Amino acid sequence: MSLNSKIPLTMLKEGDEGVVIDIIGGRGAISKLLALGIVPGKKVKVLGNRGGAILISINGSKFVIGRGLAMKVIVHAKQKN
Amino acid sequence: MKIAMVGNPNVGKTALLNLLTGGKFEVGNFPGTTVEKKEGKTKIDGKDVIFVDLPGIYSLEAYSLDEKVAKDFLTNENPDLILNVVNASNLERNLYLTLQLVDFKIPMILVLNMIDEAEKRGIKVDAEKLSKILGIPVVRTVAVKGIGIKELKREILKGGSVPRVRVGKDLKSKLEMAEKIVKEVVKVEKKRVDLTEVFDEVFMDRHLGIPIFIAFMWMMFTFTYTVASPLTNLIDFVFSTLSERISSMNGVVFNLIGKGIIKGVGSVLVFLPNITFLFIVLALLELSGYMPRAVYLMDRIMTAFGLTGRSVIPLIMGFGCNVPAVMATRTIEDDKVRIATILVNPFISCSARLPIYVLFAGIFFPTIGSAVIMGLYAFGVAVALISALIFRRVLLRGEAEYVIELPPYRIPNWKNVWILTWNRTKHFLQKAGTVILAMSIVIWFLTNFPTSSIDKSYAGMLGRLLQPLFAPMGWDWQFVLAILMGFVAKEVVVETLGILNTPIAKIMTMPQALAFMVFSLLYMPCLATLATIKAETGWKWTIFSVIYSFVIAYVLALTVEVVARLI
Repeated sequence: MSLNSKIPLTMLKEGDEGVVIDIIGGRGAISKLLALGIVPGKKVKVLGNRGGAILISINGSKFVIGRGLAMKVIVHAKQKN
Repeated sequence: MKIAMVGNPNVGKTALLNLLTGGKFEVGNFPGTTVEKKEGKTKIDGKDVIFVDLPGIYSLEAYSLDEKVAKDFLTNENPDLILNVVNASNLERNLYLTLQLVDFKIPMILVLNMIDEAEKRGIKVDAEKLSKILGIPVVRTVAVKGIGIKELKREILKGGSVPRVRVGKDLKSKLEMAEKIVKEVVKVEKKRVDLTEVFDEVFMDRHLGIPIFIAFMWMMFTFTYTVASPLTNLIDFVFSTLSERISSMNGVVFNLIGKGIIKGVGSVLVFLPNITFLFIVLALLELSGYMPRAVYLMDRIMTAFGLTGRSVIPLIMGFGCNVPAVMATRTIEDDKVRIATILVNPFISCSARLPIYVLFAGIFFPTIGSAVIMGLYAFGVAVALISALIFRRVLLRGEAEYVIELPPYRIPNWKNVWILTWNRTKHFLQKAGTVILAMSIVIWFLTNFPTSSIDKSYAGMLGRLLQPLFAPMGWDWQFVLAILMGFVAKEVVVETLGILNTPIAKIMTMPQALAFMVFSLLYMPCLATLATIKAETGWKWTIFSVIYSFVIAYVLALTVEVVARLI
């Protein structure tokens, strides 16, 4: 995975980390995510990605995000060591 | 003094309200909505105080109904004070709402709740500094243990203060501000092993997660049916005794009260223990924090049918009774998914339909009876899921966007379990007292006039009248009447055939019986379920539900009859 890849959250695998860089979509979707602290600049870790909803940890909280909504969260994938 | 309680979901607002009011609060709805409103009156040092607990929200953008209701309340009802309840372990996100509340220029007190949980996680919040920055009193509490309540009451009497913090109106500056404040007031020490992490390792495991979920569901069923059954029997006994005693007295009025009202309402009230017990388990699942985990585990399977993980529990509950199952869809945020889940729920075979299968399978399939019954259950699930897919592709299109927080696991507080359970059970009782009461009288009339022998009554005439409609399946009028009566409650199908002394084995063939079971499984939600569907979705979808399920039942029953005859 290259350092600068801008990919939807759904493309991260279980255990991968990244940084939120953008949220695309309508105002409803954006505000829903922002209110939960899913905000550009935050580090995000994918705890589960098994084909349906995505399980993430961000800011010390865990969230289940429906796949459709997770597609709208654009992240920088962090390169694995 | 009117006080609004505002905060994120899962911050312990209800527990706090419970403490502040000494448990004296009422649960209702905000006018014209299904949004829950908890209101309690009390005296603090002789001063009258009204607490209104607004729905748990993350922001005041007014995108969801809960947010809109909260915003309208703060704008129009002029509360004297806002108690902003925040979760100490998650200050940054909670502060986002706090900084939105600042815009209302209403005196505020910040309640820093669950400090014990935060400390366990190694999170320390400097309350004094936070109070200075925001310019409002900050009180540290542990609501479930009653810690900090005295201080909170003292601050309430002082009336709080209008926040002095200066923050821009836009989303972004509030978020930046929240981040800045947290950097100043929160210290995270090295945390000890977090039990939530340990539990999640097990409950969310790739291989064990789903089996554990199934085990929980099995426990739920055992609890709601086996454990509740003595109570069910008791209620059944009381109502049938009462019904017989009263109806044995002379006079048509006694007959109406005994055989009509008491018997009819009683036949629905026997479900009360099951429903209450089911709601207790549901409350436990919700309050313990397990529910969102189950949503995640089942999401992939449900997405394949156009639903989301949110639909799983309502669907499983349908095996017990569709009434609480339909009510349980309230946890689904997405309206389209919610309606689809409601509409397909009646296809999940509830416990009331089991006696029908037992009766017919016993007569026509003496050796493979249980396999036939299992097959019917599976058939119901298949029809439900395929219907859901069709609805979501045709009538209720649109992507379901949802995000749910996974709270840490908590041991539920019994008072809260009871509040949730009672509030939901109450709706069921209200229905039994209104719609079902009225229908009981109608049915009593139809079966008792012009003569009290059922086959010569209006109901009997109706059965004969409608029989041609079901002639393709080859059913006699008794079966048609049974189906008609079964609309009130599906167990009445068996009861009616009993009253009519129907010689089932003589006047029905095996394919006809199979078709009859399929039809009984699918044909129409029972009265109580329909009343619930109406309350949750309105008339349009209720009528749709009746027509759709009837057509599906008719087509599939006929197909089954023809296919079974050819084999």
